[in-house]
Amino acid sequence: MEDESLTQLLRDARDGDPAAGNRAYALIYRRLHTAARQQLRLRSERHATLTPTALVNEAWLKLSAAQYEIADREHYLAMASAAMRQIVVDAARARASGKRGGDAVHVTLNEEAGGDELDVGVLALEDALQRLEKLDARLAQVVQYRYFGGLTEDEIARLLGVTDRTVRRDWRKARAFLHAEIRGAS
Amino acid sequence: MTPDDRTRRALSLFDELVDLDEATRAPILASLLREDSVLHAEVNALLAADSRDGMLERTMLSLLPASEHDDALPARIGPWRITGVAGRGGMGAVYLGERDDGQFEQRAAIKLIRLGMDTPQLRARFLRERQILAALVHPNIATLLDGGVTDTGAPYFAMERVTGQPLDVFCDGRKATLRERVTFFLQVCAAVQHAHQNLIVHRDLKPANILVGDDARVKLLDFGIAKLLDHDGPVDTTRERPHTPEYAAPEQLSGGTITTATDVYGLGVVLHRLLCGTAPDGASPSRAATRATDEQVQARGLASKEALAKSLAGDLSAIIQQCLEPEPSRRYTTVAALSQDLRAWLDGRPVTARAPTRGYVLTKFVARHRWGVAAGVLLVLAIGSGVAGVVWQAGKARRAAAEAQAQLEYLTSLLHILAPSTAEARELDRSRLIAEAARKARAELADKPESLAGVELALAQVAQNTGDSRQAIELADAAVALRRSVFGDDAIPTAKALLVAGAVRTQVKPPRYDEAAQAIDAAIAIARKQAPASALLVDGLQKRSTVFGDQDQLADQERVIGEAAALCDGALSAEVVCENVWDELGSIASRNRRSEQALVALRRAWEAKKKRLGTDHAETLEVAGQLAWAQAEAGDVAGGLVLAEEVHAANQRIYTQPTETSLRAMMRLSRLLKRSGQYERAEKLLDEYLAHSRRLFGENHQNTILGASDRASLLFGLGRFEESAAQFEATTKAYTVAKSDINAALTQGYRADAMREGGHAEQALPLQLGAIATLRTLYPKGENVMLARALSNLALTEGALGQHESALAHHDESLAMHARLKSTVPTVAYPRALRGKTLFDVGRSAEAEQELRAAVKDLLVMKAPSPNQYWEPFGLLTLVACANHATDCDALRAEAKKAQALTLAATARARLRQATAP
Repeated sequence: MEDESLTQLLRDARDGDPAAGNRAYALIYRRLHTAARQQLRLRSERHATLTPTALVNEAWLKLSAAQYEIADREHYLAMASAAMRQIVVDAARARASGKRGGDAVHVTLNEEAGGDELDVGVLALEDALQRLEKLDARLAQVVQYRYFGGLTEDEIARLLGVTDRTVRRDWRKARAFLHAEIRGAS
Repeated sequence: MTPDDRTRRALSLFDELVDLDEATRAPILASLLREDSVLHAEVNALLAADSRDGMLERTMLSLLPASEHDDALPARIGPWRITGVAGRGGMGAVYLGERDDGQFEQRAAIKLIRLGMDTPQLRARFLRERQILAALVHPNIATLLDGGVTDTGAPYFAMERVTGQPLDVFCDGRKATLRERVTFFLQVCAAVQHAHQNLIVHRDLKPANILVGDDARVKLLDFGIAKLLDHDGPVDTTRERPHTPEYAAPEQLSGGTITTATDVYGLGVVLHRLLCGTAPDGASPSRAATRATDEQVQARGLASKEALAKSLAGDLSAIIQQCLEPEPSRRYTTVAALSQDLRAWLDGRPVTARAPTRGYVLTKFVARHRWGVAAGVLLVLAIGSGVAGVVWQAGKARRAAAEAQAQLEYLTSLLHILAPSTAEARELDRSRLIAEAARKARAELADKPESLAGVELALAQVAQNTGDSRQAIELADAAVALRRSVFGDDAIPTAKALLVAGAVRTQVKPPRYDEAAQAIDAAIAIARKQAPASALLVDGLQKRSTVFGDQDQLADQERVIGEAAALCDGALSAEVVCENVWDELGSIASRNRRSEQALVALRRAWEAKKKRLGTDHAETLEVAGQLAWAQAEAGDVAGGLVLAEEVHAANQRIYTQPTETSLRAMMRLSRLLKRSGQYERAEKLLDEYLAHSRRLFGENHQNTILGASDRASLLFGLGRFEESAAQFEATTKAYTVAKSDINAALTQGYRADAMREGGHAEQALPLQLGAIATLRTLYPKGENVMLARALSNLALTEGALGQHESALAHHDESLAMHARLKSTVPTVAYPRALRGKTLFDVGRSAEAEQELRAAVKDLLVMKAPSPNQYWEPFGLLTLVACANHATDCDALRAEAKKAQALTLAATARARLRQATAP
């Protein structure tokens, strides 16, 4: 399942092969999904807490070839951020639809919040993020990289071709917007 | 500017402003507010969001649910939201769940069983059975709250969440002595005995299922569940069996017949472990003790293994060994007998388990059947027929002992029917089991009528408990006939049987009150002659009083309950039957508005029940609910409301499915809410009540009618008079069908009130006259508060029609009646105010004002607890005073105007509006 070299797929994608891009994304999604699940199990047993950054980096180590270019890694980070966001949203949607009468066996959440509240929160966040994409695509991009991908400000600055001060300002704006929006929605 | 443009602008303004200090920022925001208030609001929201924590402060991974693997928590099981896992085992997992219907939160431990329940029949049986298990209410049993089958076919049980330690761990932890351990163990016995009396066998007794909470109360978990699974699960030999081999009786391992004796074995193993520290291994407990560790010895407060062995040798060893007999029939036949022996050990009395070796004062005959003697103490089916006493006097009365023996042997065989092992027998439901048992008893005990009568009576009670009233009557009658022939028409045993025969007749549908009265009267007559100051007589009087009440013979009811209450004031006050007497006395006093008397009686009943059954027992809660009502009636509506809320909350906590008593509590709460002006919640509760009542009892059941009538009166309060009248009409019809003439007349009167207030006084009048005519025949002495109220309401209708003179006459009659009834001052003040208005209408305006002022003053105490009762007369007073050009007219009007902001009944609001109209 993970025999295909991610590094090669990313290069093919950059060379204009859309199918390779899709395969790369699917590969990353699967890898991160598995890693996240393992992480959550560990968390409940040992109260270990892994950051998204560590998760994404670990997956990169698993997926990438020994030799890679900076472009490969940056490409991966962008895709991984998108994939993580997707994973969170998919899980919330699955739960929410399950509550309307789907499968009986559902996953539940961490100890920090009530389930319904969490699902509503995740879906509201996603809605807000989509609106932010329309308003200012770069702000949404920063959120995706920083929050979902766990990227550092430097990494984000390089990916977006801006200064890290701009990344910080963008984050503050985006954060205020999203929190205000989620609050307004609920 | 589109909304998106505005938000973009807001984001850039935010960017400019966010790092500025408050003083610099304020004027900029102020000018923004003048220019574009919408934009200002958006910017403000962004600034506010910036300064507080939100979702993005959580780590992203915390937004992810745990994985969907086996070990993941399900989000929901049935109605339960799962919040955690308590443990996992071979059978499945135990989850922690919560149920929340908006008002109340209930917490449970939910056991999800790992096996499929495939066929609809199995599911149906499973669901039926859980109802019976849910009825198992005992202070030492963790209540089954709910049970069902998930969408994927996995059965689950939701049980009262008990936090505590397993009994053995608990005892070791507190270094409990053997005596203390036996005392704790007796609580386990009480629980198991209660279940057996309800025809439920546990089958999986082990320390892990026996928890002790912080209050040192033992709670037994998983009642009857093992049996359900064992019988209902699919055939699958690889499946882990529900029982635990170490604690399983031989017959469980060999697939033999499971009876209550199986639990006796399980109890023996638990006792063995509790006392010796190890599971039994075939050796005697005292020998097992020599293998105990030093730790175990110390945990029992003893110095050495030898000391432990010595303590166990003799009685305790014999008791444990009798539980552990491989042959079920050689064990204690009942848990009661085991308890009795343990108590005997605690008291230093001889125990029956050692009868053969100790030369007890028993006859040889009895000694040869020692298990039977042990069983004689309480008997399998809670026979209250005095057999126990008979057995203990066995040495003196050999014949009686023989009879008792026969009865015991029979009952042992009965157990095998009740816990059948063949597939065919499993299909028998409880009614058929009882019928089968009776048939068997009559065949086998034909030559022992005394024993047979006892068995029949016991079975009658079992039948009654399982809801089979017809069979209960048949059995009780047979017992009466037998006892008449054996003991004579005038004997106490005959009286006891007659009481059962009478009581079961009130439960059948439709009730046979006349027959019940006849049987109970016969019993009372015997009791007066043979035992004039006995619990039996009190029991008879109380039961008779209930029947009088059911038949609307209220004066007789009071007379009879008064006699019972007098007996309970004396030496009999500790008798359980007295609780019922006080309860009933309280209800009657409540109904007749003698609130002080009601409070005293109900509080007495409540205290007694709390002491005997615990605060959360269904019976205790029922009395608490009545007490809440009585408190409100006595003027303390707020206090009553608090208690009623507590009762309702406890019910919600305890029962997943509403019961008759929990519904009554719901209705009382709704009424108290209504009285304190909280119409919305009152209506919501009432709708809930009606939905449950219709489902549980049907449309024409008196509980449903009562709810409908309450709803009608709520609608009246809300000013929806047409709807109210229609609902009252339906209620009257239902009561007429049910032959409850008082209620039919009362609701007819209320319907008339609704019609009058809705502007149809002329149609209301004949209805009201009819209702009062009926009430007069039902209260021949003419002294009843209901009649007094009806007269006052009639006067209102006459007033609405301009017939002021006859209105005044009816008001006078009503007040005279109140005076004779010694109604309280506030109770009289309200009709007095209404009369005041009529005085005004007939032109006696000065007198009217005086009356109204006095009435309003008397009603001041009702202002807070029952605002309608205060403000309606206040409105009338304002109207009259201002018409009389009283000097305080403006002040009265101002206050009346202010009161219109309160939540009041429509009629009270209408009076206030009329009073303040220009």
